[in-house]
Amino acid sequence: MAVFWVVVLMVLFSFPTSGNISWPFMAGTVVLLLLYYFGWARSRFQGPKVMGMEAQLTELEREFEHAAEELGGHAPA
Amino acid sequence: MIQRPSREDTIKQDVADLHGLGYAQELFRSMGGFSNFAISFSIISILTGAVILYDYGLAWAGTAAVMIGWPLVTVFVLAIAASMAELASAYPTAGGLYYWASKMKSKNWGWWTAWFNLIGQFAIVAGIDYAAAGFLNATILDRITGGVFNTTEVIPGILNGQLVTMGVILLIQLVLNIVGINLVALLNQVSVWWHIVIVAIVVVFVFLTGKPDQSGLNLFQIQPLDTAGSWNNNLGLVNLQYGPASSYPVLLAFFFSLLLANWTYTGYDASAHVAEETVGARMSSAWGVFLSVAVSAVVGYIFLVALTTHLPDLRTLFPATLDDTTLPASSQYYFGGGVAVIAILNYNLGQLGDVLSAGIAIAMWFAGLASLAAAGRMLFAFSRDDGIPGSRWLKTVSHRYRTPANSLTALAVIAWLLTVAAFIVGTGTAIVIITAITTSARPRRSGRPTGSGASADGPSRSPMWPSSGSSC
Repeated sequence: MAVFWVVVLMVLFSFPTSGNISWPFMAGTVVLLLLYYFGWARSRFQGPKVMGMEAQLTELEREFEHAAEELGGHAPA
Repeated sequence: MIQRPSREDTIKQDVADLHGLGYAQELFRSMGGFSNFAISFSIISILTGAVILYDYGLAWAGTAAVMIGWPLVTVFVLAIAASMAELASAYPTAGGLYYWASKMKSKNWGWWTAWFNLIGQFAIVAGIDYAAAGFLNATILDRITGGVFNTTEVIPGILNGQLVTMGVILLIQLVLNIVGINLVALLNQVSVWWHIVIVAIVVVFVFLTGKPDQSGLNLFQIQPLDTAGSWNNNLGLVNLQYGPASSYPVLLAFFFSLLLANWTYTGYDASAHVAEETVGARMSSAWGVFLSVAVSAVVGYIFLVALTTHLPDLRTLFPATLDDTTLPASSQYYFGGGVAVIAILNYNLGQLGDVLSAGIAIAMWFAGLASLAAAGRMLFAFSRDDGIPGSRWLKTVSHRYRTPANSLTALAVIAWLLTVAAFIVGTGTAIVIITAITTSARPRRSGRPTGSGASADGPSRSPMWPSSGSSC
């Protein structure tokens, strides 16, 4: 049901609201993104990155907490 | 008896969950369940989308756009919201849809999802705040100054009063968002009650003291009203002529009218985007996604039914032709004038209607505040994974406030420049252009893979939002 409606939306939302901006905009955007994707992203973008192992993440958070305390900002989460 | 974990224990579990996804807790985690719900409810903002597009639905299908279209769309959007809620529970991270698509399908799917999401986020911030600026000018500033600031050309052909106001309110929203999630969360809670109180006042007064319906429309009958052919536009190289709504097959016209409800139901992924700042994110984000749609559906329908059963003479809403200047042009989308809802409120409630219109303008400002918050998190999450030019700068978090300050700044600036560009290109139709960009980009990012493409560490292994009880 959800997937069906997403497909319906893709059609519905592509029709212009009162100008003919939607189609030219979408076409232009997709062309630019395709260029960017094949020129750079496909080979270099790695997707979600792991910022580090547990100890490294904890250390990173500790640095944030120290910095926040020094600046008088938010306490640790 | 099962003892509820303490807030500290819940946060520890949230941080552990985030570590499990590979990220450190950089942002300040303090939002409760209601605040998480409030941010999505504020972005959906029944007093923004439904108000701006009310005349659009009316033009395409008459009162059936509300009476039949709204509940019909609600059923399907709730199905989407339920799916997204489950994913938000499984992957409680700011990336939201981008992260889900990456994990459940591939990094490439994630990249495309992220870009369409981002474009939609830029446009929705621009769209909401541009509309808010127009409403604030028309309902508050113009009444104080006695002028018409919206159309005042501050720099001819480049900047008008509406854009100046938009810049000012964006700046205020930016500062509030950078200074802290606690303040934004509080304002989002105020926003929820603001929306509900305004709707309650409108409904009570319209039903008690409103004037009789003069539209002559049958409430549940699909009746396309636009006869002016406002869809004829010449692009130069191509002249696409869509023709007036009344020339379309009735069911197709009704299909187009569904944009009224569907455009209103956007932005509920915000609850997922603030997951890294939410306490008990697995449950609260999921419920935030789902309940924001459910509550908006009920409150929005009550509001729209009140308006739809008390319409003025339709000639005051839709001039017979594009060139007819003898009648007030209330249709934002068709004639670039005011908005039908203001005319309906004024017809029924007189001066009180004007005051309520000012209240709607403030509701739009709240929606802009929340949409900037959510969009900032999305941009931050994507740049954290180096998915966008300038990621090194964009992913920098404010050490003092623990907010994605640079991403928020970039969003506000680009959203404003995007609107200025739309104004320069389209002058009076800038809002149409921005809305078109929003509606074109946002559904595509929803076309994420679901179910079959889930990886081993996908939702099937993660604790789901419970089937009973509510923390929101």
